[in-house]
Amino acid sequence: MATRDKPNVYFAWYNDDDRLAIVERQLDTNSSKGIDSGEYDSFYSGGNLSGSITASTTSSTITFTSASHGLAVDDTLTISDTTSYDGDVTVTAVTTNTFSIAGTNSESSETGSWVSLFVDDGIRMTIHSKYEEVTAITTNLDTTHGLDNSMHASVLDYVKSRVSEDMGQMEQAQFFRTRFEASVSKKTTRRSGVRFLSVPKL
Amino acid sequence: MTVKDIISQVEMVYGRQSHTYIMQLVNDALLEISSKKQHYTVSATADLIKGQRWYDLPTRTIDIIKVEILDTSTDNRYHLIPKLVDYHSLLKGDPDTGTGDLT
Repeated sequence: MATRDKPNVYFAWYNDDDRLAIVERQLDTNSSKGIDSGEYDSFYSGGNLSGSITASTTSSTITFTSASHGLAVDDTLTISDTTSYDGDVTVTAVTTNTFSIAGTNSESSETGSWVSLFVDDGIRMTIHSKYEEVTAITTNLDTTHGLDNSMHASVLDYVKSRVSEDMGQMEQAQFFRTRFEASVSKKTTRRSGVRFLSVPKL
Repeated sequence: MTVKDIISQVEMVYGRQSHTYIMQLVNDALLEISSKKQHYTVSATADLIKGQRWYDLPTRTIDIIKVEILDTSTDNRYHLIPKLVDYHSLLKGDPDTGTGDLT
């Protein structure tokens, strides 16, 4: 993202039912005028993590020493400035100061550098979510599930409505159902301070 | 309030009930509340991976409020990005088959 000083100009998103797509506007890098093709494609800029390789060992896998690298298993990166390992690789194991990739090579104790092919936590999305499922009776709906205290009575009304229905007490079931729906529709949405800030027009 | 509290209150009126069943009803209630009000908001992050277009949405997503990108070149903060409305006419072909989880 070295040349992206205004990300909201260059990046955009869209989605289908299950997935989020992040796309980046393509610039004609061959042109001295920086002509904008106007088209969007998958993210093609560089990652934000990099480091030096100070040593390497090889046995059943190749392990590089790189102090406090911050990588995780399955991360992808590009290795350069080595004799035998230059190229795109996937991390298979990590410790604080080493990371490993698949393969073997007779070359040992190489030095070089690496740069990640991803931006660590580069996407943040905010969603309207369903509540997590309750799996134990000791679960606290407020602290564990984020259900506002004012909605607890609504949950109770819903449960009573269903139990009454099962027991054939239809009037009671209707009473609790109506009360549940009324309390849910009256519930005001929690308003965060962000809503009152002036957000630049995109 | 815990689910146990709800069970006790229900059992006071209706007598002994199956805990598993009441727990299921509590889950139904939570689902209905979140669908009707859509007021439960959470954030999730994922790595932005070179060459990858699609990222799996969290399974409990109802709808997306906003998406931000970490600007590592200037201030290292998240910046809002717009939704691409007419993507059919603006996108290049999608060569990506990978998916990534938003955690």
